[in-house]
Amino acid sequence: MNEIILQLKNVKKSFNDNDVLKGITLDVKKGEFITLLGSSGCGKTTTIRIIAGLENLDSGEVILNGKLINNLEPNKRDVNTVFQNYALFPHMNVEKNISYGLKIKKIPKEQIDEEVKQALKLVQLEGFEKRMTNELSGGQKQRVAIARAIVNKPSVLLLDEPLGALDLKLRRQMQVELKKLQKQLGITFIYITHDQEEAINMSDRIVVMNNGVFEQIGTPNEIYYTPKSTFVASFIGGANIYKINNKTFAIRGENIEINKGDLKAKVIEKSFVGGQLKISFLLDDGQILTSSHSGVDYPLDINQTVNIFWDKKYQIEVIDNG
Amino acid sequence: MVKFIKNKVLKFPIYFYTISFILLPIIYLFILSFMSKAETWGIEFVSTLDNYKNVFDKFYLKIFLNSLKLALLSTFFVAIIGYPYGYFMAKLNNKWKKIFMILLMIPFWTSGLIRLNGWIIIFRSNGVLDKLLMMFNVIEKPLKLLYSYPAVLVGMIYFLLPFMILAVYSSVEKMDWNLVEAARDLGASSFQTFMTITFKLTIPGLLSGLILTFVPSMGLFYIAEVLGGNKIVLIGSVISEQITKGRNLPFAAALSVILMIITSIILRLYKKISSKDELEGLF
Repeated sequence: MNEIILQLKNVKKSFNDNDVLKGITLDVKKGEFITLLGSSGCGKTTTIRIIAGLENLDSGEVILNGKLINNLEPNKRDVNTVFQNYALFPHMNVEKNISYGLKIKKIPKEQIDEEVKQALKLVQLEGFEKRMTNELSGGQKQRVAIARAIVNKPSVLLLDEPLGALDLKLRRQMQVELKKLQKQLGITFIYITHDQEEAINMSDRIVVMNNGVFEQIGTPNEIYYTPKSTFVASFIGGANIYKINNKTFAIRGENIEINKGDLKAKVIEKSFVGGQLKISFLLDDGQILTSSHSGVDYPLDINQTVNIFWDKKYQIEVIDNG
Repeated sequence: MVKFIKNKVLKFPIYFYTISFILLPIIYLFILSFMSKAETWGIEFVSTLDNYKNVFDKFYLKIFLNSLKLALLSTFFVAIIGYPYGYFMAKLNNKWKKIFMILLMIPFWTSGLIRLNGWIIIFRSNGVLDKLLMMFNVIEKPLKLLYSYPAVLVGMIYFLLPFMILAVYSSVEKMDWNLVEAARDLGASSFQTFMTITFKLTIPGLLSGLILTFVPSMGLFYIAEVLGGNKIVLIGSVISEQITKGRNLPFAAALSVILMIITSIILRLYKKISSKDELEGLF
């Protein structure tokens, strides 16, 4: 489990003077489920395209299984990609799409048939062999794209927002299935998403990306409870940023208690969002903090002044880069 | 009522056009081909099979064969040159695409006959081509290319190439290049990717290019007349002469019917070959 399978060393990439990757470094362990999390345009897709060989890097190193692969053609790399838009071959049926990589590798036909059957079983699409891709629903296309990649048993599987086009219910279901699949196959997954919940649910480690740099790399717990920067703190779980004495802190809404302590705060807004009641407070120095609670209402009026409090152990000092 | 208007009235123009300008003339041509030539002028309404009997004369069969050969040869070269041309044109950036498109269109603004005369200047004895080749000591004597088969072939290719280029271009334009990346990612080399993905997905463009080239090339005769002199006689010339000089409309009609039949047979063959599932590139 601790064997390093893929390394990125100070990888840089720019498109027409626009620095998309500003020197990223990452060690990926074998069998790990690692997620690149960030908003669109942060460079996450470029990162996996560089790993896949679909994009050349300007400087730095990409090392797969101990070998430098910077200049290796994409077809020579032991990685496969599940593309955001699926990129299924429209002139081939499901079976031919999935067997494409194996046929290129000139694997005997009986073995291909067996592997394709296995892959279809894994993604629960048995009986879909002869369907053309335009006869499939979004979720089914997604499964075919995944089967087409995993059937090659790559060292690393790259997934570019694979669930992005699916509706919420199907997304949740596929998250669970993908995670199960990854455990079952033991393949290293590098997964891209902009959805923090998805990242937290599925990953062993999360890489929070912002503007071409890796802001923080850590387990979901580390990222959530000990953010290193204001960007990470507010991107994951929307923590409050609180500044005092030239220091910046992140405070989670659920750690703010009401009618306790001596910090005066005026209630300015109450709303029920994402299954939680959120109350926004205006402090005397003009900063706004938001607390979150279970339930749908709290006996407080707008403009009422109360005392709020949080335990200093929940107050995490962060770098201010917001 | 609205639905009725939509369905019938709005479709009227296509029915009208198809029936009056395509279907009726073909029927007329077909009937005409069974009529007899009047002694002096016009046709006599006496049905006969003589016209068709005459078509199967050795003389005409040879001309049909020559026409078919030239058409297939032109189509072949047009495909060989036009596919890569259209392919790479579609991969240019937008600015250069526009420039190439305009350059392709400009020749169409000039009459085809005038452009043919340009080729005469190039091909004739001691013409542009001969002088160039002699200047670089490639040849010693003029090649006398004008009024030869190669000259006619070059002329045919020149005239038909734009149709192929545009047909291929439009299908390559529509290519989803993500599929190429997916194939590369799955282990295919650039060549394998081209054969199994890009080429397969642009075959419809190539096919419509082939049809757009082959069908007119069966009937094109003025290129052969201008660049081939009277050495290369195509079926189009024969038909034209039967109308203008021979005044034998029924026989011209019979020749046309046979020409249409040959062309449709070749088209059927194209379709059959192209719809074969086994033609899956390398596999």
